[in-house]
Amino acid sequence: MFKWLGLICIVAASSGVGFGYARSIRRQSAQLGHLIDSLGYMRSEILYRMTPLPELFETLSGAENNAVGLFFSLCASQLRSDRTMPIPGIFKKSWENCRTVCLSPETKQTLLSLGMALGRFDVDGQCRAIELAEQKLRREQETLDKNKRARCRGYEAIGICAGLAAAIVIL
Amino acid sequence: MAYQEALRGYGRPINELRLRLGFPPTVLSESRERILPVRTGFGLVTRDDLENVLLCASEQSVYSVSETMREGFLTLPGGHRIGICGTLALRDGETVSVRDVSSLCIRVSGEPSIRTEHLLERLTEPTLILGPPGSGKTTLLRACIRLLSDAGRRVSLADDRGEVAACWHGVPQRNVGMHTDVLTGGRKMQSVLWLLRTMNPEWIAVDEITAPGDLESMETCSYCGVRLLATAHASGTAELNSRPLYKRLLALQLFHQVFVLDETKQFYVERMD
Repeated sequence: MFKWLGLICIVAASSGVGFGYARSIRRQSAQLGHLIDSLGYMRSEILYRMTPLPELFETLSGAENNAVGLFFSLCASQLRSDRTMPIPGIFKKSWENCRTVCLSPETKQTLLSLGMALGRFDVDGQCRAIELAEQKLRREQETLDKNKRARCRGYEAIGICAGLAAAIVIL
Repeated sequence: MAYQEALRGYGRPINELRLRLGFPPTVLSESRERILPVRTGFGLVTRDDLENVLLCASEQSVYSVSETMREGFLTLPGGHRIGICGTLALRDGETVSVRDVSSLCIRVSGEPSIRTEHLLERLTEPTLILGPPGSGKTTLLRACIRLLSDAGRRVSLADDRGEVAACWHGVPQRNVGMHTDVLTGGRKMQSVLWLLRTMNPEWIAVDEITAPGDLESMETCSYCGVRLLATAHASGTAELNSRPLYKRLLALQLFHQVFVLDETKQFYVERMD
């Protein structure tokens, strides 16, 4: 009886890991989408209202009720507490403190590059830098979405199969 | 931060902090410019110092203050101002930005005292404030706006250079009264007409008439029954007559009385009839 119960637990745990990986890929895709939306909003705000960055980050944190919103909320509070900290530093620190963000290192690099330009140039320069970041993130999302279904199924199947295989070996 | 600490430790009242590239920071205090003491822990001003001051002052958002930077200044919370000097970047003859910033002049905001007894009783007609530079024209204008506004008059202020209300994020940092609508960022002529169209003012106030366009917009206002309050650089009505722009101003009869300020910041009233 206990043996069967143990085997069920092994299969369930292994499947859980597989499904967890699949879920993180879906989450990554969704967060990337939210980030692209946020950058679009950021561009419009800068272009039409010239909103300063602390206010802009506050607005973005309220507009996106998710990990991306939390990231911008952390950026806003960082900027308010240390007005001398450069934007790339603020992005980096907020990224590290935002545990719910599950974006790729490439996305992080794109954001840090954007941070180098944010706030330093005129409106045209800001818009161009944001557009560039948006394009990079879109390409990344396309690649991610292209393989997303197959990868998710793969992780789920591997999880279940690995659990079953372990169960058979134990039997 | 180092500047803040140094200034806090400075024993005298400070009017200005001046940062010049390659030189030690100085303060203007009691009408004298002095080097900020070396014991405060920093020496010569570097390019990074100047850029960091501007970045901090603009909340790391230079684009959001590009309009005023183009005019050479930045307004800070509390009404303090930073004057910028460097190399002007031009496009089609118009200034688009300032690069290679070489000096900054941080002017500490303070409300100079001016006598305002019986001032409100005199503000019944369109008024022009005259005086030489530094005589307190803007201060008197602000006092007039505040008195009118607090007496319940709808006053609209076209504050193109941000010196009267010193708005920061749309909030006046100087007291211009509770019934005052402030428009900043535009050219004087456009601002005056905008206020006339949109705010239904009883009074329109502008600081420093300097261009023929200013007169045209004010003439339009006078036809709409709005009373004007303005300042001009002249030591008296006689000097007004000697300048072509102001001669036209007199001919238009836009103002019925003049407050003439002298160097001791005292003023007297002259009729323009």
